[in-house]
Parts: sequence; structure tokens; C-alpha cells
Amino acid sequence: MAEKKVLHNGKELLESCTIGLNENQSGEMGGNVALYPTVVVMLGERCKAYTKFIKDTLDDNWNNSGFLQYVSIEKSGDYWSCARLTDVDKKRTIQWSCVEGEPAEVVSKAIVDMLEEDDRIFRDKSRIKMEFVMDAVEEDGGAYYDLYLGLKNGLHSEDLKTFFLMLDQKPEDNKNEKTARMLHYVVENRTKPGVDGGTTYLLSNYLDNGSILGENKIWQNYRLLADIILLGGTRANAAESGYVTNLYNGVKTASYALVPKPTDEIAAVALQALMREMHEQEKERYSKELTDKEVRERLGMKVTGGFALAEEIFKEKIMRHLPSPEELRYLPFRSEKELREMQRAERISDKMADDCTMGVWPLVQQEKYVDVAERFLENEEELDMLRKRIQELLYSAFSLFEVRMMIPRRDLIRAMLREELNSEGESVRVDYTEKLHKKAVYECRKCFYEKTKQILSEEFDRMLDDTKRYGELYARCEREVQQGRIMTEDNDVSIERTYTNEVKLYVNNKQKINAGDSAFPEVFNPRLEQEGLLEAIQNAFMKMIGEEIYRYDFERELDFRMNNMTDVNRQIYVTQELQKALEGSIRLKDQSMNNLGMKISCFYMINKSADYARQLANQEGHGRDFMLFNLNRTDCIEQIEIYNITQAEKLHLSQQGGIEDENQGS
Amino acid sequence: MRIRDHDKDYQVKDYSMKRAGGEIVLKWKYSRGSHFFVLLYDGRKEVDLQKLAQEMEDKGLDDRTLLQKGGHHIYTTSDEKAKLFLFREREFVQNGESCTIPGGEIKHAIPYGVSVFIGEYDKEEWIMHLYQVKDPEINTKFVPVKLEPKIEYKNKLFAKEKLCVLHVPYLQDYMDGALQYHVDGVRMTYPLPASCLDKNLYIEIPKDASVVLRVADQYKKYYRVEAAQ
Repeated sequence: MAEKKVLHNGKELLESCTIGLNENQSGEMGGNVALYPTVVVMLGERCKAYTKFIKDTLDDNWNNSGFLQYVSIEKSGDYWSCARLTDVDKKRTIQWSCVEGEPAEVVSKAIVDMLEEDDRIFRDKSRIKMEFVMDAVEEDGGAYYDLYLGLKNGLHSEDLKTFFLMLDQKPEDNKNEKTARMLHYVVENRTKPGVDGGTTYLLSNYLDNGSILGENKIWQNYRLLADIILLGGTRANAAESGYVTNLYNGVKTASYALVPKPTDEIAAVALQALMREMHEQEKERYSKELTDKEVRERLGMKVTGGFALAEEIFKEKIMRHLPSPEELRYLPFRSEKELREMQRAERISDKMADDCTMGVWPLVQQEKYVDVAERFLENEEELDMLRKRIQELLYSAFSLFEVRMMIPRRDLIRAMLREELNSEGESVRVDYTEKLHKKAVYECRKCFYEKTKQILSEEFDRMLDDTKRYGELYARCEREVQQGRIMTEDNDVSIERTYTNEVKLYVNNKQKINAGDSAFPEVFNPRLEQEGLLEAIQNAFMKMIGEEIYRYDFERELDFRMNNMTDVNRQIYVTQELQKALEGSIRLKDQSMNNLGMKISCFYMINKSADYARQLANQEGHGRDFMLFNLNRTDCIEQIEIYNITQAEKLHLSQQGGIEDENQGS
Repeated sequence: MRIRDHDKDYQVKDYSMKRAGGEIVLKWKYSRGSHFFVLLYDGRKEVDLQKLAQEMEDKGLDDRTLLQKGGHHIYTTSDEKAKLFLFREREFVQNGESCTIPGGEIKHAIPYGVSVFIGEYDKEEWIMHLYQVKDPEINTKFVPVKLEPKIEYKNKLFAKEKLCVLHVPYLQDYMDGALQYHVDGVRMTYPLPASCLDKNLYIEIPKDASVVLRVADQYKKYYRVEAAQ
């Protein structure tokens, strides 16, 4: 599930939904495991932030990834501080805990912890894989590298050390110069006698084709290094192990092509379409201007001006505290004669009642009837309750779009709501006590309704204002989502077409299922503020992507979107995409244009159940020119080419600075 | 006279009042004070001490003059709704820490409030400092008006009801609803307006029921109903 965090705008909504859809993709439980105990050591602060991209890839593909160790080493002044990752077995979590001890001790301890695990966890414990990662611009990079060179695990085992140097060739803050100096240091020192330089990978953010990986794409380099760890550390068969040795020794770089299912783009299209379709279909369904009669009916309003909810509350809270008609029998009278006259009268006027009872009746009416209503209305808690119930009545009686249509008629409807309560008329055939009682109850009810109708009118106004504000809010969210989209690939057209249509059908079906009621009541609630609305839309989105089509693997999605391509056409398409992505994607831009790199291997990382994987397995060159690696993920295909850098000392990384070519011209 | 804010040293404690032989006997305890002022007034109306002091000053009654007056009754307000009595500390103590208001000061049919305030006389400045109270319940007692209603019953032959005739005497400045009557077995009480006073009220009640006159709770300090005649 996407993280439940508070969303503040449409852009964050889009980001959250994108994460949600990515997490929703099916993965498969493959049989890959790490062959050797493996410790990943993050050197310095800069690369530590990217640990997640390494760990996620290893977690997705190695069943025993929970037993790997992760160590962070940082230098501050003359001291080293170390940390280890806790809860390694928990996917998608990065939690570092500081540990005591010098780096060598900490790394050693991490290795020992792995060696103490059951033998079934790591099949080959005679070798220890130590993967070191450092950003070339890290302060005191030289000290880190010296530390790397000196680190051994202290046990009689073969260490397979790899140093991944993440080059930053951007010119700002002299990063390219610092990178060049660091590279020079590494190249100079890795082969000194008595040190174990291991394998060095150079992965730059400046690609051979001239592009620079920005902050939103640099994660690819960390995924690439994780892929290299996977390739070199997975239990392999005999045919593969020879090939895999190409991954070790010397200085290397790699090119990398990632052809993913366009999940991010699908999320953006689907979200936009969902917001649009929900709104349009709901609007079409409910945008009928209600007549006055319909408004009255919805609110339970009667001809006399009362309404059902008010009557319910009046009965519940006030009526039961009023005297019964029978009790009025004991009112005093000026004379027996007048009493009899009143008993016989068809209609009893206020003056008659007042005169007959010498003023007692008006006082009784006030104290025993009207004051009861007034006391109720003076009670803050009761008023709150009344207001809340009226709010519920209003918001449940009308849909958002119906309310929108009422806005131009606000004054008229408000006046209708505030119509005075009329008496229900007098019955002549009842006892005089009933007649008096009915009059008094009417006065009491009038007092109650005066306040209740005022509240009804206020809440009606508030509902209209909320609805207006909601409309503006929804439109703004839609704009922000639109602005958050990155329109790039030309396959956008097919994504747009396909998923817009699917969303339309989805919403349409939901409307049919909820015939009569709103299909998305939690979204179209005018009381929602911005955060609430964004959350409601996110929830609707997450529900929608539970549909199977959003969980299709890479190939099935392509088939679905491209109207069922033939196998041949699909293979051609994927090959072309990989080629396009791979071209110029070498993770090193060498200004001197020396052809210092020699391609030594090619790997395809792809789920073995994919048709493309099967085609590749049968292709000429498999096992010789390229190898396949079974990726648990089903939503992408990756291709990696490894290059040996034969004369690393001749690398020239930037115009201003670079490795001094002492042998220039030779 | 200077009206001062509440001061805990100038407050009465354990204030009690009783009627004895037509007089009103007042007792209280105190910490400090040179003089005691007893205000006798229509309990239904509040008396503003500041206004009272101002009124006396406007009439040229300074504190020295007031203190030199003979007797305890030193002032009556212009509307005659309140009377001020003064007792010196020495005589109060000599009287066993009590003082007396003559019965003749109490008019019939007015529910009186009797409030005690403590004063401290500054002989050098010739100013009397009179201290207000925080809680009027501590320094005020009421003399409720005693009512004796007339209640008669008239039986009717062969009827399940009888007639009750209720007569409540006239009460000056009566507030509507202060008195109410109750019929046996009926939940409701019936408030009486001023227009009912000093008139016969005819109430038809069940044959075996009776009627009693009651004082509404918030008026109990002003009226007390004696047994009906």
C-alpha cells in the first residue's frame, strides 16, 4: 500500500498514487538466493541516502536477502562512526542504529553474524562478498578509500571486495574536479603492493550519450550496482559461473537499459481520468435542478412549515416535558359560570382564556410550555446536537451537484426554509383542555422552530458555500495533477487512450452498481477540506487499481495496450526499446574520447516466465554473447553490458579537471 | 464614606438572625472593625452601596455627622426602600456580640433583606471605610413575608369533583409566578400572577384531592406560607 501520509496538493497526490501503483505490481517468488554471505558497506554520508534502492532490489530478488548485512561508516574529524541496518528482513524499511567499534571490527562482526547463520542460508561460506559504495565527491574520500583497501575480515576466507565509485561529473561546486581527483587517487592506489584493491566499478551520472542523471533518475545507478551484486552473487549453474567471473577484477563500468512497464505514466493517466470521469459522470447523473417541491420532500418539510427532523427532536427533547391536557383541568377560574362557558366554547380565544383564568393561563403557557423550549435552546450541548443533525440532514438529502444547482436560487430557497410555522388548525370537537393544550404546544413549537429554522438557514448557507469552495478545490487538484505529469514518450498516446477508456468503463460500472446513490460519496462530500479530498481521491484510486489490468506484467500490459501484438512484433518492439535505452548509456563520459572500455559481457535481467526471456534463451549467442538472469519483478526488462577499463589512468573526465595524463600522446 | 473592596479581615462570620418578641436579633463574629452597618431593605431589590453613600453625601451627611447621630437608625433612602442602622463595636460586644432591630421598622408584606457590613473609622481623616462582601450569602439574611391563604372546599352533589376556593392576600410588588398552587396527584404546579391576588380563585378538583399554596423555589427567601385557614 502507498504510505499513509497527509497529502497537501495534487502533485503529492500524483506521487502517492504512483508509488501505490508501483507497489501494487505483482512480483513473483523466484528461486534466487545469495550464494555467499554479503555485506554492503556505505562509505560516507552522501551515498547513504540511496541505500534504499540497493536494498529494495536485493530484497525483491534474493529470498535470503533478510540475512544480508548493511553497514554505514562515516568520518567526522579524526573519528569513524559506524551504524548497522536493523530489521533487514523487513522489506522497504531503512533503519540505521549506531554501533560502537572501529570500522574493521564492525564489518567483521557483521560478517561473523552471517557466518553463524544456518548453513542452508548461504551455500558457500568460504567466500565473503564485501560491496563498498562511495560517492566520489565525499569529503575525505581518500581516507575512506584507504580504509577500504585495508579492510579484511580477519577470517581464513576469500574476500570478494568490490568498490563502487559513484562519479559526479556535474561542474557545479567543482564536483567534476573532485571526482576526477578521487578517481585518480583510486587508480593510483588500488594496485599498490600489499593492498587488496578488489574490483572497482565506476558509475557516473554523466552518460556516454551526453545526458546527465538528475536527482529523479540517479537511483538507476544504485539499482544498477545492486544488479551487479545480484549477478555476481547469485547461486549459478556451471555454464553461468564462467561468465560471471567477468564481473570481477580490474576497473570496470557498465551500460544500463531499463525498459519498464510505464507504471508511472499509467498512474498519471489513470488518476487524471479517474478524477475527470468521477466528476463528469456524477455531475451528469445529479445535475438536475430540483423544484421547490422536491427540496421540501427531501427535507421532510410539511405544509405547515414544520419538518420531520425538527418534529422528531421536538418530540424527543421538549414534548415529553410539557404538561398533559388533563392537567389543564385544574386551572383556576373567575367563576363557575365562566368555566362552563369555556368548556362549551367551540373556539377559545387568548383573551377568553386569559380573562377566565385571571391571567393564570398565559403564565402557565409561558412557564410550562414556552420556557421549556427556551431552556432547551439555551443549552449549548443541545444546540450543538441540533445543529449537527440538521447538517446531516442537509448533506444527506442532496448530492453535491444538486446543491451546486441551488446556488443561483440561494435566496429563494433560504426564504422557503424560513417560512413561519403555521398552526395546524383548531379542532372543535375536543375537550377545552385539549384546545388550550394545543394552543400552548403551538406557541412552544413556534419558539423552538424560530431557532431551528435559523440554524437550518445558516447550515444551508454553509452547505452552499462549502459546495462552491469544494468545486474550486476539486478543479485546483485536477490542475495540480495535470501539472505534475511529465509528458515525454511517444507511447503516451496508447497509454492515454487505453487507460482513459478503462477508467471510464470502471466508473460507469460503479455508477450502475450504485444506481440511485452516489458511486463515490466519500469523494463528493462538500465538507471535505483539501487534505480530506486528496485522501478520498487517493483511496478511490487505490481501490480502482485493485482491478487486474493494473497488475499485468510487462508483456501482458504491452499486449493489452497495443491491441495484442504478435509475438514477433512484440520481440522486435522490446529489442528496439532496449537498444534505444542502451545506446549511449555507458556510465562514464570520457572527454578524451579514448576507447578505453572493452565490452566483456552482456546480461538480460528479466522474469523467466516472460515470452521475451524464452525467446532470448533460444537465441543464438545465449550463454556466449549474453546471459539471462531471472528477475522476480515482472514489470520491467533490464539489460546490462559490462566494460573493462583497460587503462584507467588515461581517463579524462572533465574539461577543467581530470586525471593528469602523464603519458599524454603515448 | 468610602466603599472599599472585599477584605477578608472585614467580613462577618457565622451570621445569624432570629425574631424574638417582635424584634430582629442579629449575631455575628468578626476579626476587625470599629463600626457595624446593618442595611434593612426590600429583599427583592439590590442596594448599591456606592449609590447609597453618594446619596448621603449629596444630602450633606458626612461621616462625622452620621456618627454623631443619636440612635441606631441613621439614614433612610429617598425612595424609602432601605434603612441604614449603625452599631458601634463597643456596644455590640457589650450586648453579647449581638444587636437588635426594632419590630416597628419591619413593614408588613415586604420581604426584607438584612445585610451587615463592617466599617473602620479613620479618626484622623474623619472617614468611614465600609467594606463590601464577596458572597452576599454570608452577610445577608431575609425576613420572608408570612402568607396565610384561605382555602375552602365546596362539595357538589353526585359529582366526582368538588370546588376549591383559593384566596391569596394582596402582596405589594409581587412578582408573577412567585406563588403557585398544587393539586394532590397532579404533577404540574400552577403559577399565580399578580392579577390573582386578593381574589377568589375557583378550581375544580377531584373530590378527594386538596390544594396547597407553595412558594416557587427562587422566591422562598421572600415568602413563607403559613397553614391555610
